[in-house]
Amino acid sequence: MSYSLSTDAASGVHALSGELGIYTVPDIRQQVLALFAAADNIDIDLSGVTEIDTAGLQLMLMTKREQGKQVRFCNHSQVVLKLIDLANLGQTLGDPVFISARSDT
Amino acid sequence: MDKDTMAAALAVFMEEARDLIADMEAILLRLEEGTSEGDELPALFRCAHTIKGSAGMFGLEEVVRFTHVVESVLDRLRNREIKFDSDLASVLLESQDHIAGLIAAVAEGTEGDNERSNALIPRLSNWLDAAHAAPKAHKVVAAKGEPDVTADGGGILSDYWHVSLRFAPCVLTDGMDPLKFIQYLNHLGRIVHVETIADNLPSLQEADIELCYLGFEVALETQAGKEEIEEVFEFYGDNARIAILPPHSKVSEFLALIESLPEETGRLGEILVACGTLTASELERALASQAASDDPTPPLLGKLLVEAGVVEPAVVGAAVEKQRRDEEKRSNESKSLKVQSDRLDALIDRVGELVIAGSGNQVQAAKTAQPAMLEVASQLMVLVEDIRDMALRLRMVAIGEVFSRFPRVVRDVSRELGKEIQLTISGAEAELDKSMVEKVADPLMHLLRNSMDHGIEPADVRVARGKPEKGTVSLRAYHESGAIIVEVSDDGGGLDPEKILRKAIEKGIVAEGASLSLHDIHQLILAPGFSTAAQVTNLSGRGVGMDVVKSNVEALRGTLEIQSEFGKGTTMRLCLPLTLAIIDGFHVGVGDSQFIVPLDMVVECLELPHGLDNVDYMDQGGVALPFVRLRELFGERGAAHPRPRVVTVRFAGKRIGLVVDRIYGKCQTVIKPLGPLFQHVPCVTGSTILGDGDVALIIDVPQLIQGVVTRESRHRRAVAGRVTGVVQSA
Repeated sequence: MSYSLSTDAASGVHALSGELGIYTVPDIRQQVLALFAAADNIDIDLSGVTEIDTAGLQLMLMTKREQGKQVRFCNHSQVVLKLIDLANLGQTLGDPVFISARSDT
Repeated sequence: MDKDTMAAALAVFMEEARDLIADMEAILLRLEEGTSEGDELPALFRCAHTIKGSAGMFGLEEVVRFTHVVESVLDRLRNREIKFDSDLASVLLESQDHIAGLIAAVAEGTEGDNERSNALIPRLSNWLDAAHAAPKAHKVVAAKGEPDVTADGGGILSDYWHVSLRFAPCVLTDGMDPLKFIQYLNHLGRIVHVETIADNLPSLQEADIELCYLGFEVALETQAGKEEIEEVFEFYGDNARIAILPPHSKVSEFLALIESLPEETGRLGEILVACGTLTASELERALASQAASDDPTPPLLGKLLVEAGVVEPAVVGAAVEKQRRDEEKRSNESKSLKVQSDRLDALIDRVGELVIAGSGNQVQAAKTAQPAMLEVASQLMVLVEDIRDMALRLRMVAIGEVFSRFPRVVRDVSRELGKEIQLTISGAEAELDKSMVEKVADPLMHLLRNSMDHGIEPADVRVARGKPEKGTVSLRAYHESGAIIVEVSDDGGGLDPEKILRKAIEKGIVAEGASLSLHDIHQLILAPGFSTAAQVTNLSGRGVGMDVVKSNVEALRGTLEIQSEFGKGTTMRLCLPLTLAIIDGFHVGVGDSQFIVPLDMVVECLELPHGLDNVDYMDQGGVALPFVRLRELFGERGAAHPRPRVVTVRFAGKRIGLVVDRIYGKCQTVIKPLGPLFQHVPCVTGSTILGDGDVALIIDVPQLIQGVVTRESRHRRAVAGRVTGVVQSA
């Protein structure tokens, strides 16, 4: 039931790790909103995400849709990829990923 | 699922099924009476449908087999294909009983009564004609994959099942993860395509992040049947809109699906095409048929479907109604929590100990005479009292839970007796302890049957007496001074005092020539083996009953009183304590002994006037107040106080005084039952442990008052120089 969102000072990439789910989304949302307040372009590294559920995926979609902001998710962990694949949201989210069932992206 | 989860799930199913069966009964009775509000037929159908569905999940084949037939009849009823009449009502009520029986049999692990199913099914089938069987066969053909070409568009080409999922927003907080369930579909077959519908997603800032805004459209390739797919989503129950369309469904069914979803039609069409469920041309055809009647104002899809005869207007109305009810139900559900009663009992037990320890603490604090210590001790006591009240309130349930079974009883009994009887219920919301609710049901049932059988006269007699032809039996509950009163009254013939007295003398209950007050005569019917009914029916009249009712009520520390006016009617008044566990007590002392009087019954405290040594009553505000000397009653020999006090107590409209030596005041009392050895000690209902560790006896005020009333009447009779009869005193 825990997560962390830390920023790499050199690259400016925010690394999200741990659980991205119903128990953590309220806090993560607050942090993301805080990031939005500071910058318009945000890179989020998902390599450390160990768990994700519908609520987490929904949060990713909302972040993507935020008006006037650019969010890029990168280094998706396997669990994230699996869920994006299941929900068929690869295209909607539009982030380049290494493994995808969709050959046309 | 492993064995334990299975057992737990089965228990939930049992409970749910019982609720549903009760709902069914209530709706059927309302329909029969014509007092139903709105259209309840869809709800009725849903009850049977849900029972069947859940029973199927647990493999209860007999339940499924039988309920399926009931469901089919209810389906026709819902679609207005058949009319509701009293014959149908009777069969359905019997069927509902039978389903309850089957489920009870499962609970007990015994065989269901299959023969009764076999007897009932043909009767139910009277309402299922050939026309009903036809569409079923038709469906089978469609499912086999031969596209059926009919006026409303024909079947689609796709070989895939289409599953449309819109979950309740609270699904995530309920601990369910929709995508997990979709993933589970992989066990049934192959997920061809998932389309996630995120159209309704609010912005990050505005969203309630814990709600689910996503919908899913899934194309599934599987050999599984509809029920298996349904089972995957079974746990979402009413909280989701889930549509499962088999391969080659009709275009019209998709139209209905599209219309039922919140998203815009065009967008949905695209989604269905994306899923591979519909081909582009099929979509075109569907939308064309929608646009075909493109008048200046395009008709709503729903309307179109109605006009095409696909859906009847009533069904659309019913669907709206059903949705509204589901929502109401859902909001109710989220407000309540199911807890096992033994856990509650354990809690109350501990709270009882806490109360005792708390009073002990306060007594010790008082001894230290330190103001700070006293203050925290009394603060603690206030909190403990609050917790006690809350804990007891947890166990309180509305007595309506018991009342709800009686409309059916009245209906059945009135038919059996050939009398027209209506039941009125009031005060169903009055609350009492859960354990009491269970125990009060039987006595009430008996009283009610008695009223209907013996009380209400046949219609011709009623008319001759100038009463309405239809008899009325009423149930009324209300709270009075720490007790709950339940009245069963009828507007029937009332008790005939002469007949009762004659019978009592005949049976040797009362001595010949005894003169009894009207009240005493009425109480005679509570004597064992007493019945005046000329005819013994299979309901009552065998003379076993009223005495059993009386002893049942007494076991609950309650009283039963009869009030009757010959020719006008009878009222049986049950008076029960609200709880069996903890009460507010009034602590008094006699000699060296301590006693507790339930505080709710205490009216006032007086000083015993001088010079009353030889009489048992005193003057109080111009009225004679009879009193009881507890010293004599309990044979107490400790030092007497020079100025005894009188505690006035009241119960069921009567007042008496209790003469005591000392008055200590209010205290928390945890009722501990007396051991078997002391169970028959009169005038005491239990014991308790006081703060200083002493044991005090709890006085049974109702019994004492009863005793005084009897004593007084005996006294009067003795004064009149008559022989006293053997009156069964309480």
